[in-house]
Amino acid sequence: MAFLNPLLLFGIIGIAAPIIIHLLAKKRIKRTLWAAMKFLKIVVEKNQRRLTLEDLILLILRCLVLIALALAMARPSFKQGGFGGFGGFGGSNEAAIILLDHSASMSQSDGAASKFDKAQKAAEEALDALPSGSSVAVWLVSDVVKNVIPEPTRDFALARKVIRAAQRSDRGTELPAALRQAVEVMQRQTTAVKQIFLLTDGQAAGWKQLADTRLLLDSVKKDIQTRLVLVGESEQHNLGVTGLRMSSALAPVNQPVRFEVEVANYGVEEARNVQVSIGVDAEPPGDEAGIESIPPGESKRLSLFVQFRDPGFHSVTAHLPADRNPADDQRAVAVRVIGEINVLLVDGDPGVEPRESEVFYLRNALVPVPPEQREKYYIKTKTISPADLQTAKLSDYEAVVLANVLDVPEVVLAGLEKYLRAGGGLIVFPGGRMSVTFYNEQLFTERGFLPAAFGPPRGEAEQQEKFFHLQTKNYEHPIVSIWKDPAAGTLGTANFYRAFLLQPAKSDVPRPDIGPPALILKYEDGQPAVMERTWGYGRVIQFSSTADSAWNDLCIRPIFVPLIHRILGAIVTRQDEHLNLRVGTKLSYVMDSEMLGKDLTITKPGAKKDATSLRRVTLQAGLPLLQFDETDIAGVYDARIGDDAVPALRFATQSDPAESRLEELSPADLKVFDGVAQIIRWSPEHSLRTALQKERTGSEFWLAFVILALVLAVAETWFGNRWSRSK
Amino acid sequence: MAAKSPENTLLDPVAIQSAEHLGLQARSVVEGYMAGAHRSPFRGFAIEFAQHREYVPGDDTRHLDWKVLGKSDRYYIKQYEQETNYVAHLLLDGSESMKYASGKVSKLDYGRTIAACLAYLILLQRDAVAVGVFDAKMREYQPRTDSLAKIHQICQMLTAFVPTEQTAISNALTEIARQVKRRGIVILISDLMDDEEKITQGIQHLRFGGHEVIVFHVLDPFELTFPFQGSVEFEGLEAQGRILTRPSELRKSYLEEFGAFLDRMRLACERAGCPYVRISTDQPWADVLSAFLATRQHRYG
Repeated sequence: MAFLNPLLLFGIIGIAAPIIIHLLAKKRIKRTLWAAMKFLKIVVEKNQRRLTLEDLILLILRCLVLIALALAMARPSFKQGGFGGFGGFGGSNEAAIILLDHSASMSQSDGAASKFDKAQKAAEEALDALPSGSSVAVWLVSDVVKNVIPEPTRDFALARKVIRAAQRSDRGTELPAALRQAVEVMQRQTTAVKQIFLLTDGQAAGWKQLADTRLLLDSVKKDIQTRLVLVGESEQHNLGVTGLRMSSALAPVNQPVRFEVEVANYGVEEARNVQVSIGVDAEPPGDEAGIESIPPGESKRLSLFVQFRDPGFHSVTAHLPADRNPADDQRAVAVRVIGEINVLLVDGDPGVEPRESEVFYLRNALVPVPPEQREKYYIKTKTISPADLQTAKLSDYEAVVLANVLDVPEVVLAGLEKYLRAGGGLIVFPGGRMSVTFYNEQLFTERGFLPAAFGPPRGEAEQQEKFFHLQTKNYEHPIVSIWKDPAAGTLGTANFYRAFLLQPAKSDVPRPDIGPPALILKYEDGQPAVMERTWGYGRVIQFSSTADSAWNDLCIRPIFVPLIHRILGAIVTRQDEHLNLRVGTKLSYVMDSEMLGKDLTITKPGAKKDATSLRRVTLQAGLPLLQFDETDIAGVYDARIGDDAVPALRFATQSDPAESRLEELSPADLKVFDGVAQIIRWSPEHSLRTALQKERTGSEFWLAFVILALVLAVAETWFGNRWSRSK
Repeated sequence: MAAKSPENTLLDPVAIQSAEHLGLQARSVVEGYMAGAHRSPFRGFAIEFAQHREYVPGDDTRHLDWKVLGKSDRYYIKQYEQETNYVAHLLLDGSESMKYASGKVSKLDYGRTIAACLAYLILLQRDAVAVGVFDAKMREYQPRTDSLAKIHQICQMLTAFVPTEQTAISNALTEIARQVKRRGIVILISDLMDDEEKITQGIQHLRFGGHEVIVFHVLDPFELTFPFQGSVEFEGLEAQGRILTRPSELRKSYLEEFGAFLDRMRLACERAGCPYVRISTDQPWADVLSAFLATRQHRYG
């Protein structure tokens, strides 16, 4: 038996009241002289024992009434298994961790409150259910653990404040890891009772290691009670924007830029006539299209176009009609709109005639417009000799092309390294004049610029009857993925007479700033034709054949223009890759050098203007970097200098598409927790506090004490009346 | 204020005034009652010399034995047998229990008045009366007299008496029986708060002596009704200790017990052939006299 309001047990001292009243009443006794004492004595002697007994019985009844009332008010409860004690009497020996799921799926609403709102309420109820004197920690969990109160504290006011102030994030879900951490913390506690409350929507996607979780909980079940509190109802309909990316190579001003939108149907029924819109910044949607049908469990893609009026940082947002899971009804990406792209062409074999230049075709492919329009075209090229490379200011160019260049001096190599580290692009075309040894030793082995070493050449340029082709299908790399669509043409028509064998570098490069080698194109025999790797914030593209028509006829094929543009786009957007992050990852963006030391005010998605964060552009590894890690919310972040109207940087975060999959743990999944964790389905009508207190303390039976008090009061009145009659 | 000695009490103007008041009251009651009465309740007898006794102030000088005075120069009063119709011995219980008064009039006060009234009435009828106040023994005694003028002394004696002792009625009755040889009427005015058996024995003792005994059982209305409420601490007037109780819860038992006592006393008197008159101090005195005379008329027609 336990008492839920043990302090009210002090009411039992109220039994002193009848005794005090009795004693006070003695002061009001009338006194009189009396003659017929003899008869009074006889009567009293006959009746005194009975009177005393009656008095005693009445006094006991009155005291019992007060005791019963005090017990009723103290809310006694009984738990099978023994005496539960005086709950909260002099401090409890309990510790708990409240794990509040704040992943993106918790945004699902029933129209009145989101699952996260409900989880907050349930968390408060769990807090209220803990006996006073307990200690509690509060963690916000998603795919990471944000332990706001890392260790159990007795400061319940702080815990309540943290729960109320908690914000939902757009992070993914990975609850087993959070449970593991919570178990570790609980095992360090010395309290007699240890509890873990996990308040979640039970999204199946968040429980990837159910068996491991069961093993973990099973191993600690004697020591730690785990309660899985499931909030909200499962949703049968959900459409989500699960992908949005720019499919155009570049995003120039006033040019239609294509974006690919992926919409997934996570509901159980087919979705029909799904309207998808896309817009730039906060402007009204610029393009809209409908998807006739999306079967359940499937996704569909469509292309939508936008135009940017100004160069600089912009955001593009794809929208779906609102449903009960608003987190995935829109998805945004940040785009750096290019005003002008400068490409430096280093011609290793200029020849005599312009057409004999190693970069002749390349230059024309980059600027595929008549001469009179070249000034207005957004790509500008400059051709220099290898000797001029030493004096060239590489940072003025988005890309540098080495076409059949014999070698480069050491000082140029150092400049290239700096250039790549800061986000520049390097395209290397081999040729007959190049020093394979130099490239392999310096650019591949020493510097690690090249994704592959140049192996022995194959084929003869003069024997044009012998050639080989590029692959004709399975274009997986994003640069060439548009040729997946046969309507876009094929790269397999170009003839290659001679090419170096590319020997890719090992993938497990120990340096974190050098990316693994990636295959862009291969020959039809499977040998690599074009490869790339990221280097610092830059990107290196390595061809196996020449840029001119000496070893192949690719450069005279129409597909050469889009291929070169897409490669250039990949280089330019290499930096922009850092503008779009997975929710929760840290932004690390190389700013212009003039921004160094400046403070930027960063506004989060949906935040008020006064709820901003201040970050300074600092020098990191020789680069002016802006870093920001408070990216729990999906959407567009603006970084401004002071009150500037135009943001100095705009970046976006996207949530894990898996969060749109609202399937809950199945009954079979939940069975995994049998015996190791308690599953509680929370609803506003059934107070978690009451349930937990009942579980802790058993059934309340205050009503029995109230009835007992009434019965005793009636008995006292009846006996009092009866016995006060004259006898 | 000096303590009141018996002498002082006699001289106490308040006591004297009270005595006069008592006498006037008795006179008023009796005369008021006698107005319209046509015959005495006592019958007359022949006058025969019985004995001499020394003169005491207040004696009627007409009864001085002049011959003895002439021979011996001593003042003797000639006493006659049946010099009056009857000799009435008024015995007033002066014990502490008689002090009880639920209202303004205590049982003793009431008894005083009754005694004074009866004395006056008896003297007025030219009968003789002797008045005594007793508790454990005879405290005050006014010898037999037939002089109406003595009524003042009787009243003074009655008024001056202050009860201090417990009751022992049988002692008083035995003492009277021993002293008074001539048959007479013994009027006992008491609350009878004593050993019932001894009271009965005392009455029977008088009856054996040829006395007629009339018992005026004086009671307070509260003793008859026991109307107390709440918690009351009763303190015995005759050193009987204290009792704290809730009388309302005991009323029925008390009244049964007290009623049985009254019945026993009445039966005891009736068995002894004594008229028994129960009087409550809230009754008019006239009613008491009426009751008394009714007993006389009933007896003698």
